[in-house]
Amino acid sequence: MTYLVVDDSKLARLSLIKSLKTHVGDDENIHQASNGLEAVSLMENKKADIVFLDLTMPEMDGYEALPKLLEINNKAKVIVVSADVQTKAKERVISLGAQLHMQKPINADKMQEILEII
Amino acid sequence: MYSLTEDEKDVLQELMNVAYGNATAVVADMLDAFASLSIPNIQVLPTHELLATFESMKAESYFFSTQAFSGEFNGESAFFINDISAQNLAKHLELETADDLDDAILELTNVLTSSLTTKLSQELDTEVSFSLPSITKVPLQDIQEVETFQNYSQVIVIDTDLNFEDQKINGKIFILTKDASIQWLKNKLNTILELLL
Amino acid sequence: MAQEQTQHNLRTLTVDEKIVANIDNGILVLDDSLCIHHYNKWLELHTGKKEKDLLTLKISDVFANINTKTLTRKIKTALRIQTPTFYTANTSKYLIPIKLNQIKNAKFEYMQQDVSIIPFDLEKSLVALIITDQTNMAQTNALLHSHIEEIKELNQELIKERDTIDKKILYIRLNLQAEISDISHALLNLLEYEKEELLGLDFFNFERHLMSATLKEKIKEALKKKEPTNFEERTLSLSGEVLYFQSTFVAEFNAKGVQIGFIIFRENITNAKILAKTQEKMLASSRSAAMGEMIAMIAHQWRQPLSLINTVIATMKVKRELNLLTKEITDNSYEKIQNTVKYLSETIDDFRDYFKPNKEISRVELNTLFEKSIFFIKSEMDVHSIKYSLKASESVEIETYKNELLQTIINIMKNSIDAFEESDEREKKICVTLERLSTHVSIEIVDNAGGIKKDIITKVFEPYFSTKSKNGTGLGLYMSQTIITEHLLGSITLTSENNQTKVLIELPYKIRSQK
Repeated sequence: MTYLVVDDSKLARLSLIKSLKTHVGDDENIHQASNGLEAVSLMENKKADIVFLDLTMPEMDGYEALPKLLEINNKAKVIVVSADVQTKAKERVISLGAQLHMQKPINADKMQEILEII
Repeated sequence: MYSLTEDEKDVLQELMNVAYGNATAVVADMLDAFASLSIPNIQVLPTHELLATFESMKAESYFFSTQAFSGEFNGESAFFINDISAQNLAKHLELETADDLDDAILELTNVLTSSLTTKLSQELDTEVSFSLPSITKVPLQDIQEVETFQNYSQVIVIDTDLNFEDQKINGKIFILTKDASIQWLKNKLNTILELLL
Repeated sequence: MAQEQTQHNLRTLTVDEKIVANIDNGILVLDDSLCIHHYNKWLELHTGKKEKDLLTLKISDVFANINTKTLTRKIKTALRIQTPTFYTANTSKYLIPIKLNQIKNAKFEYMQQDVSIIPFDLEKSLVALIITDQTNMAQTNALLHSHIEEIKELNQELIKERDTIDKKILYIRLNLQAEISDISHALLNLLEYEKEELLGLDFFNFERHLMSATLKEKIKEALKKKEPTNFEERTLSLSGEVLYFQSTFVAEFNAKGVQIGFIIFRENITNAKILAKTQEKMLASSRSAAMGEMIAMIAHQWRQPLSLINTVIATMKVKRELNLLTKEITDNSYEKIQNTVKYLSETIDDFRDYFKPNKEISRVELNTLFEKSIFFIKSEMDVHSIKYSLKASESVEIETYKNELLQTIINIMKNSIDAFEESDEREKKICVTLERLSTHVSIEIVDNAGGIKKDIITKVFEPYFSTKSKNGTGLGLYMSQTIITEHLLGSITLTSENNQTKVLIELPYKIRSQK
């Protein structure tokens, strides 16, 4: 499996990856991007299977990046991980093709929940 | 003189993001509207620079409300909303009197402060309590005289825009914490950092 | 852990309810549809309603003033964010209407309330409303607010007042080193300087133009004493205009009584000074005019005695040619000449005595004074065949400056004589009447030389006004008025009727020396 973690906060990425590794082990292919643009170019190279995508980011935000990522790899599963918990925000990302919308931060328990669902 | 390292800032920013996301969701429900979120801006400033920041908002007449929060993490939040936004808020909530509008702004302040700081405290593993918010309609040129700020020598300023595009309501919220709290916060942030790295 | 739980339960069951019943706050439990679940004793007492009658009722049905929408929103928000929401007395006044019957907080009809809405039971959607009486605080706030408004108004007035003072009053502030620390715009306008040019300058240096070293020392000495002191100053404006100031130096103290400098209040006396100087000039010129007139008078007086001497000498010459000059005739002639010369010399003395200004006040008998006046102008009156009469019921004596009065009277009578030159009146008369009145004496001088035209009668006392084509300085009546009013402290009026001109002089019985 190839994972792509997209967040402008380095620590948010580290924290998510830490939770992820407690479930999938250290050997997995985990890539990081700090904004939408980087995520799209990484997607073209690495064709990630599972994407953790933040919404509020500089350069290109999650809403813009989401359809582009799916365009490159329509089999990818995108989990939006955001602080934005407005009902309308959730509805919007689901309609854009995300599998899930989860509230930040993602701890090990939440990660398990996510992995079970997908 | 305190300052925050890049990593400390990053953690705080992330925590603030989460807290602010929560707060916005509540306000969005309250107003039945959708807010666009922006990245919070975090700075450690001497008070006079903060006042200078407020000074730069002079152009528009702002409503200005504050609310104190106490606990291990304590301080004050200051919420600014400009005249037009306040009028739009009144229209949106179908308010009739100026007192109703003041009340609504106080409620907005309270909701923002409470959700922000509650969530932030949860993440920081502590508890806060809140005092009654107070509203002041000060012309900003007099803001130096707003006594509350005189008590701070240095403040952590976390400012975020509250932006309801469709309703044309936007405001700015500042979370101000002073000396002792800054040290406490730094320690907490480092604990979190150590757990991550 | 179990023990703690027990203790916690124990406390809830006994202590809390008692507190809730007795606390000095209203406690109200509502659900999110505003139905009442608890109504504490405080609320019962203040509203006169019983909890048992209210349970399950909607609070907004019990109190019609409550805005259902706002309260519902606040309750739902509190439940949603799990932290309190609030009403503040400041903006919302009150939630539960409780009439006040107090005198001390008379401003408010209803109790002003802060209300905290605390999430109480999330499952049942219950919140507790804690109601706090904030009337005292609101009253204090209102008072404070009105005082602040008052202070603001006072401040405004003060600023206005300061502005007026700055624009109207001439003043300079000095610090203790005598450097200029402030200067009013009124004074700057006179001096034609900008404020910035003068601030910080040494007062004595700036004022050096026309301030003598002795005056400087005098002022410095006075400043040391810290007592208000008056000086007359002379200063040049930027463009070189001379300014005269009557200045008062006052030490300035701060609120704690420590001296912080000086204030110099100035009065611009330049105009008065210039007027005084003009008057001096006029006086001088009227003196020289009077001198001319005196010489003319002397000439008149001397004409007859001189011609007498001439005649005596001519007679002696003829007698000697005819050898008829006897010793007796010679002696007789010498004696005549001697007497006449003596008379001439006395005349000069008289003129000199009477035409130098008096320094001292003396007793003056007015009848005698008029005799003297007539003596000086008799010959001129004779030339024009003017009859003179004096009416006085009794002797009139006053204490005044004798010569000043004499000169004035001669001046007025000379005016009458001059007026007769252009008159064809057959019976030319100058009548003087002296009268003793209770508070003053009156001197009336009336001539029948044709009177003065109405259109010019108001101008006769103006300086440089003259009806005479030649020899008139135009200062005669102006100077007469100045002398009468300013030196002799009396009054002079001039009226004209029919053919006559009447000058009325009123004088006090006694004046004090002004020097």
